[in-house]
Amino acid sequence: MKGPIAASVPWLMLALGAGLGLACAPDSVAPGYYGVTGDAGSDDASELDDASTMSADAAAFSGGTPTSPACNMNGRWLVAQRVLAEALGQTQASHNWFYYEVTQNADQLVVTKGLHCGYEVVAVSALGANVSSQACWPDFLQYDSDTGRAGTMEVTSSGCEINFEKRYTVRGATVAYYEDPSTTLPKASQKATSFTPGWISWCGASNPGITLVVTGPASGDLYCVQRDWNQYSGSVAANATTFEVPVTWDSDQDSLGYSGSSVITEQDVPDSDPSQHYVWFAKLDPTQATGTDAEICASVRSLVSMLTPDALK
Amino acid sequence: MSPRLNPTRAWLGLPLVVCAVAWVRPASASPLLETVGGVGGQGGFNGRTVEGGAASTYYNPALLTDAKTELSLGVFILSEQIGISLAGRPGTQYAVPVGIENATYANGVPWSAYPIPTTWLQNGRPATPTSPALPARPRQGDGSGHDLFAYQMIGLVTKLFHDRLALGGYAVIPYSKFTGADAFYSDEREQYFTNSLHPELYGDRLVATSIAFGGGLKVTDQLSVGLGFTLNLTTEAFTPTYVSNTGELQNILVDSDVKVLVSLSPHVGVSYKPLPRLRLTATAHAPEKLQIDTDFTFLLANGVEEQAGVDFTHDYMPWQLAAGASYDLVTTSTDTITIAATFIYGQWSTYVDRHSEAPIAAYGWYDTLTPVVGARVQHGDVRVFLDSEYQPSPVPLQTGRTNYVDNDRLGFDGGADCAFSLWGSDFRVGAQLQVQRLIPRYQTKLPTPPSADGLDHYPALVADEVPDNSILDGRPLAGAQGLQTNNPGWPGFGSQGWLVGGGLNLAVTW
Repeated sequence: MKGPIAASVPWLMLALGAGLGLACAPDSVAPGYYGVTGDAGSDDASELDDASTMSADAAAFSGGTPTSPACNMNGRWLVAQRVLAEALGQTQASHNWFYYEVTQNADQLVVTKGLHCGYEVVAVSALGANVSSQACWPDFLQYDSDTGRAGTMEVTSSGCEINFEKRYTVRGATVAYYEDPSTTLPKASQKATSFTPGWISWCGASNPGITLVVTGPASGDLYCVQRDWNQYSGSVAANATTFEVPVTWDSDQDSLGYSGSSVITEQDVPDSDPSQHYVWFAKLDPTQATGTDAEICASVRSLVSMLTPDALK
Repeated sequence: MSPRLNPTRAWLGLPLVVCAVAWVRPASASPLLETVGGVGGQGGFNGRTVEGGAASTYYNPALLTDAKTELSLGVFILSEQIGISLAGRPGTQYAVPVGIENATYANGVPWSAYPIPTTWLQNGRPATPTSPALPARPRQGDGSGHDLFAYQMIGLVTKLFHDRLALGGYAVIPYSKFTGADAFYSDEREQYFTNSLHPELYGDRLVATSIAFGGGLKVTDQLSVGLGFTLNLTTEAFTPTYVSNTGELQNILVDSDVKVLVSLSPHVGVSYKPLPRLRLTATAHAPEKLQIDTDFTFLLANGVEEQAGVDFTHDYMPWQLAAGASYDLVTTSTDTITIAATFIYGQWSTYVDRHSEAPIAAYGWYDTLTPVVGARVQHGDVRVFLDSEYQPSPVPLQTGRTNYVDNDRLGFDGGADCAFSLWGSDFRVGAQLQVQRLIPRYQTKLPTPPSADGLDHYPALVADEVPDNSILDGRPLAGAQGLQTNNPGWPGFGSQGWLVGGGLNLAVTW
């Protein structure tokens, strides 16, 4: 074909090609593991693919392709949850700390590594209680995990909307069994065996379940099992690397024993004011929170006061 | 005076429709025409409801009776930018280990298929004294979602019998090649070829043969019926092969016997105007596909002869039924404003893929209903139109073995043309632009439960390509426990993209 229409073909192709330069959608592959030449499938034969001149840790959280770069959760995050609870008319704030490596593809989020770094409870009202679970932190890290938690990060007219699915955490009992919320938490007589679920002694002690050290007007050691759930959902400003999101949550606890005041066995409930329950996310740079899982969690706990001070209220 | 509907004449069109629908032989497909809508004219995405010049030959041949006699030419450029993002593999325990070629089930029976060691796929294998190097074929290293196509549009409409009968021809032909067909597997078998995922309903389907011709009959001034056909190509290839030495396959002797058969696939349309401003339409497009049948015979030097055959199905389009309506909001001597809507039902649950396989029942495709809305404005010699359509994906989330890549699609198509006279002839020149967004989608594969007996108890889920009970040299095979897979879509993948097109066209009318 000759003439003006044929002559327009190159110009049309050039214009469309240039226009799509702003909106192209390239193929991508997140870094992963492919075995080793000569391997026999053994676990120690790990080799990261080469998208990778980077370290395995860095590659694992380099993430996918978000719908919009302004709503991008790919990366490593310090997650500091603060909720308010009430018992016997007194209020306490519970501070939970997590470490998330998040991969985002389109609007879909997956926590590819979710470490539980521990929690504390501090008194808010004058007669409230303080609770230390520090002795249990290694067990929280070992037995509890948010890896695999799914969520979404969607683009909205005002920025972004984030949502992490409801997630249960079990402490001091057979985690895989009691994560099912339809199960009843074990009583003191139900110690776990090789064949049956039940409570397990955590926190480096021989007490049933976890051992919490309670101080305040009423004090003592509380032995219990706990099952919490939380869900994060709310709006986020575009391009935010530190932000707060509302939390919905609840907690179930079975007291298995105590030493000291019996008042400490009282179960608390979420405060009725939704604004008192929130979680802070702070993006970590490559130099922050590195090393072994225990080292990462130690860094996370020390960084909370610097990166998300409001999560310690 | 407009004649009233004559029942006898109205039913004249029925045998035409019945005969066409009864004679359904899957034929060459027109996914390109379905994706881009009408090129030239005012049909756009609403071509089944609004007269679109020569393009009505394909979308609704009954509307040819309202088209002007014309010869039209045009160019159309379409850019396909579909990105596929694969999730990272989480650990080496999921890799197919090296040295498995002699492994068997625990009872000594060979596996039904032997995967390629994962590290060889990703990194290649260096040459050895006995075998040449194996090039790497990394995941998604050979995707096919990015291309730029240019097409030539040719259209013709002519009238006979005092404009009662209109005949049309319409073709959109790629400049790069007359037609294209690239087959790929949508599961772990693709590791042997591109080791990549590919958009299921785009790519080579955008260079499909797209030639239609047909006619419309004006039964009354209110009622028209039409019958059209798309051109069909069926290729049959028979290649008898003599293998003198199985160790020297480069020295085989091959003959060929290739046939290209042409047949037709029908589509029918009806247009009825119960009111001067209102038009109702209905169409039916029969299933279409491009069939490639290949047969091989291998004759060995020891006199043994074996035969094998592989069939490919490209450009499959299912039954498509549509109903539409248009209404003239304004009609004056110089201005017309028309709104139009079409609903298209696609029976995608009957889909067969490029290897002539139907999707696994657990992940069967959905039938779809595609709404199209739009408006047309004519002022004097100038006409403009704008359409929008939402095409839901027929593909369910691919959380199992298969990796059919597809997305919901939201599209906009607009155009304008202007009539003028030059050198004693009437012309119409037009331009068109469309943008279609493939809405992002992501899926994570479901875990495959372990199978102690090494059998595949979950064929809909990602296949464990190294059976758990495998042995090698009489001992359990290391690295066989749990899932090992080279499925390129595991452990998950996402896709999104754009189709952007534009074109110019020129028609001479009389």
